[in-house]
Amino acid sequence: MLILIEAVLVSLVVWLTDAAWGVLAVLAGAVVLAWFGRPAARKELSDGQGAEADPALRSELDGLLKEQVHIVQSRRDTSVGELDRVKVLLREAIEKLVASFGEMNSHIQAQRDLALSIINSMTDQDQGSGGTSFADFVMDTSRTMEAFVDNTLQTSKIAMGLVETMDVIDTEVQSIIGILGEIESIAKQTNLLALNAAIEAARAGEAGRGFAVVADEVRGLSQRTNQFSKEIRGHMDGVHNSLSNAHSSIYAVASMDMNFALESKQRVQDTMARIGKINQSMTASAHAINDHAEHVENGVNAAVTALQFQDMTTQLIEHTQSRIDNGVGIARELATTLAQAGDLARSMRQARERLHAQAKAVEVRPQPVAQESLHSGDIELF
Amino acid sequence: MGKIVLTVDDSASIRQMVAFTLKSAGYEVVEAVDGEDGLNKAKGKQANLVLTDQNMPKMDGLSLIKTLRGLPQYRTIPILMLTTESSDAMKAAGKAAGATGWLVKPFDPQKLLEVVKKVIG
Repeated sequence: MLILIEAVLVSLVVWLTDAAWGVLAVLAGAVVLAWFGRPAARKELSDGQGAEADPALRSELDGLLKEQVHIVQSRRDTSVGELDRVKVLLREAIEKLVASFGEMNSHIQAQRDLALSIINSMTDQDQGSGGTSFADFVMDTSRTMEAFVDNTLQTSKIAMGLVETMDVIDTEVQSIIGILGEIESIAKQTNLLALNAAIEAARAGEAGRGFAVVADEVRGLSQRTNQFSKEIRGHMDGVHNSLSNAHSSIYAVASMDMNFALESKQRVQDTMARIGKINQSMTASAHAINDHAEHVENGVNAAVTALQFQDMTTQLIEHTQSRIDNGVGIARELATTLAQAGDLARSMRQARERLHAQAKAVEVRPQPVAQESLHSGDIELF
Repeated sequence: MGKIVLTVDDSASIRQMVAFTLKSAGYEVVEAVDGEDGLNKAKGKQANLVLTDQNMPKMDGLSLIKTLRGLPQYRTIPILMLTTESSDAMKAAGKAAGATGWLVKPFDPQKLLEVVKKVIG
């Protein structure tokens, strides 16, 4: 008989341990063992007499079993209540986490869109939509600046050519001035000849009077020639001076333009190279922002996958709660059966069979969560 | 207007995660808290895809699929199961009930999106 009791108790302990409720199992076992362990009970059972033989003992057993059920029930209420609180805490925390991850994801997506639009505006990828890219703008500006600088250089070259032409004109003016010297010398000689002719006419007396008039006219012509020559020389000197002034002014402008144009050309080239580099580094930065956003998005996805532990743990907690309820039901049923039993030995045998049957029923109950890790689950399309 | 996805799950956080994953890709998401609620929402607004959990109070996922398949407007609409259940027996039951596919939790948002795109575009 004792073997049978131990077997019943062991079954109860095994089942309750399975439900992670060892403390209560030991408590329940201790209550029943304490009762059956008493010498009086041993004697009654070994004598083959039912516990009903002693109403006082029956009443004591009834009291013990009721107390045991009460304790088990109270422990159950505490445990289930605590598990409910765990579920609520988990739910609230996860809802907040998911909401903030959701917000993070939407900001990251906005950031990615911005980065992509920067990349598109920096490169030629937007041309299909008719927009002008920054690269195009830089190219256009560069071309315009180069055309402007080239025009300025061309103007400078023409001005230098003009300076050379003026040098040629000045040389011509100088040779005209030289020729005027010749004319003045001829006029001087003519004047001298006219003077000699006048002297010879005076010496001839009345016969040379007519010749004296001609000599005087020739002298007058030579003097007028000399005067014209001096006037022309004065004008030519003026031309020479004006040419010299124009020469220095044009030369100054031409060389200034040339230097400015050459410096400008270099500056434009340097600036364009810098803009090109800035463009490249901005595009690279935008690509990097895009990459980082992608990493964050992957991280958020991984977090969302991991946060689903709450759904799994909640189901596991609910499963455990139902097992605890089931255990309490079995303990209560066992207590009722034993307390009301007419034939204690037969009742215990029946109780043992029921316990075994219930233990098996729990084992075959579907386990809703088989996962042991948080790797994303399988996907199967039928 | 984006396509409408009905997500049926008694876990608020799962509904939240499904909603934010699909909304970010331009889908409109309708949420239901159990099978019964899911059935009412499905009747109220024609969905292009139903994504349902299995274990829920009032009406479970398999019953919901069977009921929906009985409605003319849901005879050919894709229905995906999204559950922690992963046994072959359950999958077979889902297939028999008329499910289009079976996704085991936890789901990877990227993979969920891929499957949804594959099923309804």
